[in-house]
Amino acid sequence: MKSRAPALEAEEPSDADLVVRAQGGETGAFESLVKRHIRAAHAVAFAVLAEQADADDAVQDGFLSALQHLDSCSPAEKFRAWLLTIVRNRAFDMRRRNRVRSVDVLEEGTARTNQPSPLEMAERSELSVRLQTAIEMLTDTQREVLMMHDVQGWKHAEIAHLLGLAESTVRVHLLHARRRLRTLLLAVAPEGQQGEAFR
Amino acid sequence: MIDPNEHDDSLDFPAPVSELSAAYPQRASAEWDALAAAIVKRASPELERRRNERGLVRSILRLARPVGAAAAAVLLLGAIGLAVTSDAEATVPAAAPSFAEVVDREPASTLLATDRPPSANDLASVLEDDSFTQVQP
Repeated sequence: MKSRAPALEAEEPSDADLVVRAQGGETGAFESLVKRHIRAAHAVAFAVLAEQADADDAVQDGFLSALQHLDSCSPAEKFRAWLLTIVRNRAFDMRRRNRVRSVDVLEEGTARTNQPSPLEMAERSELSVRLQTAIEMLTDTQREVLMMHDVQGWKHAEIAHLLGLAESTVRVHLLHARRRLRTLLLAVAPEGQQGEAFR
Repeated sequence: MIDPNEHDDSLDFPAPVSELSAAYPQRASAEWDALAAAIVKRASPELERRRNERGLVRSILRLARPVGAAAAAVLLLGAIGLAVTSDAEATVPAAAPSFAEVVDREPASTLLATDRPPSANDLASVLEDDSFTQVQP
């Protein structure tokens, strides 16, 4: 979190104020809420989906769903946690749908799978592709915890609060995720690079 | 408190994978702004609906205030009117006349006021109203 000057912080309306104003349809208030929480929401969605475009969609859907049900956000001070839960649920819905879709496509015998196209492969760095592949092989919780903590810098307590887990459980998931990811990365690393890049 | 980022041999807690940040592509501020703008744009129908709904509720409340006051006044006046009418129509059952009232009729009072003893005619006169028929001797 970036530290802000106290004077500036005092001028900023609280989430609760913005929620009340957005409930009345004030566009500026809703826009402020979006700008304030979009990165956290995207981080949560990306931790589940591991795809930038899918995470964008989940974030958009999550914010719209939150607006539609804004009257049920109580207390309004808890907006952030409430929003992130919505976004996370959206992301899981999308993930389930994507899995079903990919299975359907495979059953139809078409060429399209989760594997990126040669062009996409070229656009991404080799490391990103390997990471993506390895991260995809983690369990849902391991992936979420790892992405939030190691990639996006969330604290154990924040992750625990969002996922509804004990902090100690989050630490255990993180431990297993790192071990497993390391093993997976070594397994998919090209010859000669094993054990060098992932320390 | 245990910091998992520190190497702790007893826990054998693996350190973060150093290149993991590559898994989350960084975005420029302009890209975040564009995504936020897209969300706000998609949200505009819902925001407009909320504005209209809020306006409608306010209009109803504005109209409801004088209407409510008038209704309360009508109710109050009605209640007062009903109370007054009920009092007027209320009939107090007539109490049964006491023995003294029956006896204390004008001729008897006159008779008692005098010192002379009543004659048979006086008694007949007093009891006349009660269909007393004098028995001829």
